[in-house]
Amino acid sequence: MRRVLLIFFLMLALVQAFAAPPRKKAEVRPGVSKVEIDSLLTYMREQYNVPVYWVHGGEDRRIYTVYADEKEQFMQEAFRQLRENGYRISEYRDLYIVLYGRTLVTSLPAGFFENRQEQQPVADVQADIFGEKEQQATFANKIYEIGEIGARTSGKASVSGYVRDAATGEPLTGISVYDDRGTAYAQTDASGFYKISLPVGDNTLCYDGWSMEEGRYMLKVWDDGNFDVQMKERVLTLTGAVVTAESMARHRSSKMGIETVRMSAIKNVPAVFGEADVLKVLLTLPGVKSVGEVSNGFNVRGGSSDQNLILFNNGTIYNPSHMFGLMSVFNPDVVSDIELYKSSIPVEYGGRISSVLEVRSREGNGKKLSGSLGIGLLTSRLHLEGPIGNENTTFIIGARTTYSDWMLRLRPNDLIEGIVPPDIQYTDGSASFRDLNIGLTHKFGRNHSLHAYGYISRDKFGFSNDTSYRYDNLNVSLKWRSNFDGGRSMVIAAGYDEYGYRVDDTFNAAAAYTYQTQISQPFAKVTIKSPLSESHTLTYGGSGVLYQLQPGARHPLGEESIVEDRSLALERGLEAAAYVSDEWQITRRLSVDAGLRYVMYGSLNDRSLYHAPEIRISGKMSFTPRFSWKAGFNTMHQYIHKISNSINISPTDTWKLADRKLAPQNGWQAATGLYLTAGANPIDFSLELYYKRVNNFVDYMPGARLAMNENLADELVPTECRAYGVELMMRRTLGKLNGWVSYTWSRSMQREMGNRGKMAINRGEWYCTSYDKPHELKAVLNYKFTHRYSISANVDYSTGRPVTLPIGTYEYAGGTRLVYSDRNAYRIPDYFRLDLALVVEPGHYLRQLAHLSFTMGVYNVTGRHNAYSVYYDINSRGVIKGHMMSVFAYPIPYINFNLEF
Amino acid sequence: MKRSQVILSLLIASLTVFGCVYDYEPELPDVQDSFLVVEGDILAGMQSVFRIGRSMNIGQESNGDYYTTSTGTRWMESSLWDVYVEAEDGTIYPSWNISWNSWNILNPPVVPRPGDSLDRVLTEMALDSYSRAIDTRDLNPDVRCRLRFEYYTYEWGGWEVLKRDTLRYASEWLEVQRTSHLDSVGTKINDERTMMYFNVNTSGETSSRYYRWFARESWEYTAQLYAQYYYNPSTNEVLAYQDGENTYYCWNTGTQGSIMTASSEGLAEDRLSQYELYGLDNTSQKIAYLYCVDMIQESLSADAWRYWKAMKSNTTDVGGLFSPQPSECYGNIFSLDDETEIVLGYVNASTVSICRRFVSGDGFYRKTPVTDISSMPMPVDWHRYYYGFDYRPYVPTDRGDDTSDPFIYYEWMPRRCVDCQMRGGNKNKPSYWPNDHK
Repeated sequence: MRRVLLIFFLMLALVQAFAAPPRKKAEVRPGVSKVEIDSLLTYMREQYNVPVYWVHGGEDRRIYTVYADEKEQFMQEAFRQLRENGYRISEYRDLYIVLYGRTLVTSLPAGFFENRQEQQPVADVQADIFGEKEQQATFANKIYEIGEIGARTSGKASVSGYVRDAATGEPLTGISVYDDRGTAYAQTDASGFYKISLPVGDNTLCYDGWSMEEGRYMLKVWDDGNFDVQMKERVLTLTGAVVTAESMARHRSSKMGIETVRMSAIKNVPAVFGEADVLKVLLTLPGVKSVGEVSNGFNVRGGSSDQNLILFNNGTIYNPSHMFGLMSVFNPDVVSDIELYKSSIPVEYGGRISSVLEVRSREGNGKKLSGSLGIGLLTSRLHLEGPIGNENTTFIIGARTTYSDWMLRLRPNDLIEGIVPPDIQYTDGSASFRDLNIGLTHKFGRNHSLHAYGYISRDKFGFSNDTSYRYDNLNVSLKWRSNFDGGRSMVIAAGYDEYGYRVDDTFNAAAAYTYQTQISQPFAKVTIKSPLSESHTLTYGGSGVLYQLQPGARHPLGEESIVEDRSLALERGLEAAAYVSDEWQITRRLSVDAGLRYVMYGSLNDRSLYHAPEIRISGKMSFTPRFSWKAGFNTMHQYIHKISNSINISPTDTWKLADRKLAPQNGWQAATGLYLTAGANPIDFSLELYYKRVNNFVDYMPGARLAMNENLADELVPTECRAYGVELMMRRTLGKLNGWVSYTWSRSMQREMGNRGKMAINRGEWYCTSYDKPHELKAVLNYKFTHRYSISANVDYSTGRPVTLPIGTYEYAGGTRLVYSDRNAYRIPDYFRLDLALVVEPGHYLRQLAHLSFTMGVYNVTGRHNAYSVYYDINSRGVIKGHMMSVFAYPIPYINFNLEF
Repeated sequence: MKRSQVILSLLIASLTVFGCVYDYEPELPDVQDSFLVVEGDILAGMQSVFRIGRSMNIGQESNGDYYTTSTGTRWMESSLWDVYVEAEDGTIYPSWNISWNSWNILNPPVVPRPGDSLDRVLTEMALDSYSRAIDTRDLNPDVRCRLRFEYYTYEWGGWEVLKRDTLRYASEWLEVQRTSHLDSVGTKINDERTMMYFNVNTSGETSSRYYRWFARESWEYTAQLYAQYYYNPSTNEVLAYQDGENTYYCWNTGTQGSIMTASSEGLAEDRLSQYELYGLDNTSQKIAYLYCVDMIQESLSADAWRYWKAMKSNTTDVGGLFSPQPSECYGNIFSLDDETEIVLGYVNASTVSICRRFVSGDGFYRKTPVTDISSMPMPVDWHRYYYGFDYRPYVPTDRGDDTSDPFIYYEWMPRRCVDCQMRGGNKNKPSYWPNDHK
């Protein structure tokens, strides 16, 4: 706890150090509040003696609020706001002329006297100004000036700014920013910030992404400067189309294997019980598999579920599921977007072998207090967001809770029979959870912001009155973000994560106990992005995590209990990393992103030390702007092992840190891919190949004691894994029919290392992992009949997962026992599921008070009895019987109403 | 984008059924290898019994004498096994070859000595022709020991043995575990009075803190009706039973099929209190009249504990969402000739502690009511006929209306109602049985 406080105070100190000069908020400052343009400019003319003239922009009734201590500041702010509203400010000698939508030419265009190819002809520039050329978008009518007028006449200047949602003021992440000549490209980061390098002179900048209306802005760039953009949601939203990384981004970035999903788009994808879920949508993407329908652990490119680093606002989530995996821990009301790195993992991430999943929560609405109340089949939820005081400080808070345990009581024989072993009495079963998210954001001026996040959840379940299980997630973190001149940015994050599991067992009074395990980890991280030159962008920084693991503590429960009060020694390990990477734009077509991350890990228990460099390199070659080739290579290390004997992430898992006896996992992945965008209404094609290896992934000996074992390392056996595959994908994001179809062929194999001879799993030969499903076909499709009606379909086919089946029987210990096949030598039947949804959008009467929309759907339309697991038992007559457990064996209809007002 | 909204969901899905369990028959190759199975532990202080068998394919009918491998069907040459326990100091404890003396099966291979009160019942177990008993009463627990066995294979050509091979097997060398004292076997009936649970109470220290029990059960039960008479088909006579002759009282023996293991790890003392091992339901024949359990406690080595734990979870924790993967249960017995051969089974060596407990079923056993028994008075002429239909005389009844009829009429009953031997048991009353029923 002391360490947490220390980090907290360190953070505060940093905040102080980096904060912009404090604004004197308490003072009454001169200015105007909520006035129209006439009053604003009259005030400016009279108060500051600025010779300003203006022409009223037609029906303009926009209001302005400007406060400033001095003239320059006032003018700057007033003009900024006017520009934002479509006014053009021209300067002629010492006069200022404000015109709506057009401008006066007061100087020759940049570079007029030079001979450059990239400049537009003068006629065009004048045409833009005088509106004589046919314009396609209203915004294109305006020209925005960047930098001090006439500051430079040649060379390049960098334009940076924020992209926000016009309705809520939230930053928009992953928006592509590019100029229409196709020479410059940037993407907005988590705070909506972008920086793009443009030639001095006239430019047309495009902003595109998600379901936002595309923005085109004409910029007259004089010098480095800022340009903030607000984007509106497209009026005719293409529902159901989960737009992941835009095709543009694919061709521009040298990184590969990155999937981004925005929460606002997730909600219409058909889902079981109609509950929108982040991780379920992730599973519709190529290369992401799960062991079965009810499992929130997911497997990325043949990696195990604990090899994914799941970050929620920088905090690590150890168990991402609620209710046995029916739902994920991420509240859809609060999540903004998720980003999954399957292949190219940026240098700032480390500590897991397989993938990184970043889940970011939204910033609160800066404009007004709003919220939602949701009543779903399983949960009810409430969320509120809005500004505190002014729009610089916002909050968002979201809470969810289950109803009673109605579902478990409803059909215990069907649903629960699969969840617990069949012979356990489960009539007193129960399951519930609740969680709470809090996010606070404060902006210090334009370029600095502080974010505070909190997440807490508790799951409880039990199958009988004697035994109750519960697990808790807790994550708190602070993030400071600064953007400096020249496009440099810095993010400092620190926080504390905790995951705990507890079981109370009172079945035998003498042996009644409570058993607990816990992971707690304070962490801190600083990342600086710094453009060195036009073609080099450096990312560097460092991070540290202190893992603290309570591997097991058992205490007696009740007076009769003779259970020994014992706690295993706390395991502690420190992982520290320093990293640097360079994004190098070698030519317009060729770029490389090369990074090095140096990781040191020390076990504080036995003083063992591991350190190794990790290489993260990827490159891109564009043959044409719409056809490119990429390749990448990564190495990774993982110092925390999940010790589990079930194939899912289960609440009863324990974790173990690497030490002298247990080596850390290490692995590498090589991947390459081709990306093609074709057609006028473009379809993106991609083909990715990968091969990866992992060493020291732990398995355990049969019958190993995983709980309360201080010599656990002796019962574990290291294994090596190899995985390879091809992912084909076709995606269309626009048009009446949109969505994607993907096909994956992949294998994932495991083999025991070391030398246990014939006692080794499958005699030390390669065997399939439990998530090895070679063929996989997934499709998410949406067809829009009219602007109001659309249908969505979700198709999922995969080879059945490998299982170990009995191949023989023998009489032993008074009963018939089963001889099992080699591990995972057989497969359950293939999996197929089709879901359908009908979405009815609200009518388009703009003045209508409330808009009603609804989604109606059916999960598993064909009612196929997909096997979740197969098992055998022996009845009293000694006859062996095979059973197949199907979790959602019938079509499950649902309907959701949405009332927006 | 995000406006105030109210989302309502109809609970339509609640009307449907979510999941189900279906029968499943996977396609497996027809013939799998058959593995040798060796069962039994070296029990210092009493008789050790080892049973040798073979694993069978799924769906194959149990036939002890034959087993199938990928190379064909073979005879399980039970008589050709030689089993013994070998101590590290060179002492050999040979087995008593029961199968050669199968006519003599009730003669204990281990001759009771004064004070060996429980040994007799242990040898009265129904040992079949695949079992070997070894007298390990004098096994020195301070010396490591192992199980050895040999197996002869013959290849015949005509009347000639072309080839004779000896296949040799051995377990690992085993430390003899010391078990604690099994103080008592307790019972507990649940609130609904449907189940009777048996638990154990122990005291003293074990060498490993891992326990295993096996329960050898014997029980007395009765036929539904007490027949006083029997029919002699050779003379066509109905005769009264003499003293001690009846088919009303029967005895049966068995073993508990559930794997009973426990660990006192995590407890402050190496002591188990009312540790529940198994249960009998109130319709079980075992508890119909008088039930006796000989609970034998041994201590397991850490490896043996792992083996039994894996076997237990392979048997019970299968198919659930969080169920562990089934795992191979390879034991500690190896072929000395072919190191790739897999032998199933695990041999543990331990001292034992035995506790006997008699439990009466009175007040707990729910007797199946006698219904639908067609009994009828039967003239003598029909006796032979009815005997053939598996009816037996029950009680004498009134003569018919014709008083001149010289014969006694008997009420006849289906045999299952009056002959307890029809229900699995026999008249072999254990010598330790506490009542005077015959």
